[in-house]
Amino acid sequence: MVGGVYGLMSLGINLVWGVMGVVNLAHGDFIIAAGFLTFWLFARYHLNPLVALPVGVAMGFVLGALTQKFLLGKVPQDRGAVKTSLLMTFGVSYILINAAQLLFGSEFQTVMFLPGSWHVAGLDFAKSRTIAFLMASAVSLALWAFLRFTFAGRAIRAVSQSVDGASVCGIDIPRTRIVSFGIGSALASAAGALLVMIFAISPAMGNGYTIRSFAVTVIGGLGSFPGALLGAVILGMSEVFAGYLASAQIANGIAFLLFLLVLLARPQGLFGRKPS
Amino acid sequence: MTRLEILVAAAAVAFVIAIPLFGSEYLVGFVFTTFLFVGMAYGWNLISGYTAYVSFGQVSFFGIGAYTVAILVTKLSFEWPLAVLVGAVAAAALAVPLGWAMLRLRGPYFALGMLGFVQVLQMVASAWTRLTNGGEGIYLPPAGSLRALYFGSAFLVAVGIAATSSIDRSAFGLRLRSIGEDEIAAEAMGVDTTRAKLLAFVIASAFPAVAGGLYAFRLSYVDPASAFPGSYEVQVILMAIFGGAGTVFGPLVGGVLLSTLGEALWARFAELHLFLFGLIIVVVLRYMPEGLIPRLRRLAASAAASGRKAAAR
Repeated sequence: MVGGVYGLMSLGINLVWGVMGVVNLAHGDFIIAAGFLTFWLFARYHLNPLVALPVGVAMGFVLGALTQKFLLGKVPQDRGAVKTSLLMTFGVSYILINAAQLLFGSEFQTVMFLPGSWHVAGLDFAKSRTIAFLMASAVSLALWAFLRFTFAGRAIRAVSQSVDGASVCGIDIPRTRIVSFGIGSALASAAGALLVMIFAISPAMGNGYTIRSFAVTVIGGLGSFPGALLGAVILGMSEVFAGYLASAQIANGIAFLLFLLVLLARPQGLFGRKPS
Repeated sequence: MTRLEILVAAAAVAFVIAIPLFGSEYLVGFVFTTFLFVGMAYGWNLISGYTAYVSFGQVSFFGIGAYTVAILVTKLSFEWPLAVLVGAVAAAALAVPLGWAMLRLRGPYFALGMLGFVQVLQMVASAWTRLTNGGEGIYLPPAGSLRALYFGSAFLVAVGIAATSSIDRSAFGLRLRSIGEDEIAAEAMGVDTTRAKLLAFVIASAFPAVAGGLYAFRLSYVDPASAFPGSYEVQVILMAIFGGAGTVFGPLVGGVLLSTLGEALWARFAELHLFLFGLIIVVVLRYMPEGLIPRLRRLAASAAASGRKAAAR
């Protein structure tokens, strides 16, 4: 069930990476920021987390688009571009962490939304997890449809295949990048709003989720939808088993170990395109 | 070296020695911390300034140094200078297999790999209770005086400057730069890139390890949170890029300027520390991506050129 949310997290990083060749190191912090926003709306105004979700998504989109428009978009596209962009998102990551700490404190928070569980066919399904899973699937489906059927979505896919080719076809590259980064951050925010229903979060956890999202993308392969889902399920299951067998602390390092294993054994991921 | 350079170096050495002789405890502590950061910035600069491998995990060696020292001193009652040295050797020894695996990864893969490695070490430090005492941490006996530690940190900076300036002008430095420019082209030109970057990675790992060891003594306490401080990673990276990544004096200038500024201004806004660091990173990268020293050098060069033009007219 957690796998669905992990999958959603990784879609955002996957999209941005595909389009820009850069990983957003602040991805996890967008997740945490949206989680805290959801928590705050719930605790203060008793707003249903599912209603808060679009608010978080809008916030993520705006922040992401601004980051791209005013910061990453201004990085000169030469050989040092990847390095500079990585460092820049690292800076953004700390801005977000600190902002979250100032606004919401450093404690762990969670939303107690729909405790209890449903019994279906002799199995117990925790209500909050099931809803989080369904919502994550719905958002993922919406993204798939967007990329597949709308012009903006097709432009994004074109840019991720070939920047020059897309440019020749008259696609506005900077604009497409702004939209992609905005959507990437919006997806992170959606994942964060769902995550806070399942786990307790704290501002310092952003890095951990950036790494998880990245690991899922690497396991599944860049640019692959089924890969992202499979990667998410593998990561979710491994963490749960590691938590059972050893301790919850071990679970935190699992993402990294899987990531390294896959990279050393099969660099293009389980479903990825072979780099040409 | 020109006469001016020798003069400046002599003045700097005299200044560094004068601080513990005449300065207050507070001043010595402040300069000590600054030197630790400058030393770490030199380490980061070697691997990430010269090549294109941006490491966000140098703090893992900082933690290794801190824990090695704590364990050696409490369990085997080592003297502190020896313990710090062993810490550096331990970090370098770990950096060999780690670098072998990590340096095959480029760009984002390497960056996130190192970021993840810090978390793994932090996890090991909290889970391996028999060795590290887990979340409770290890208390160290007080080690000598702050002044002795201070000279340790000054030594670290001196080694950083010496190593960087000799590498900067060597064939090894050129190899590293060529990896930073275009790794595939460098390989095609016959540069053994794997060897060069692994060597740089290993040397770079010793700096944060020494800093971590000295820091452990200053604090007299090591636990998983203080041994792997993410906030130090940002500060170190910021200092190196602010001064100028891939230059000999960039880390020193950036480190001293930002530390002083931090002590003067941000001590009042302790809560906003990380926010400001993140903001400055972003602003520096946006408006001065090459860093302060190359920027000043370029300004000086263009001023000299226009001066010459004016004189010719």
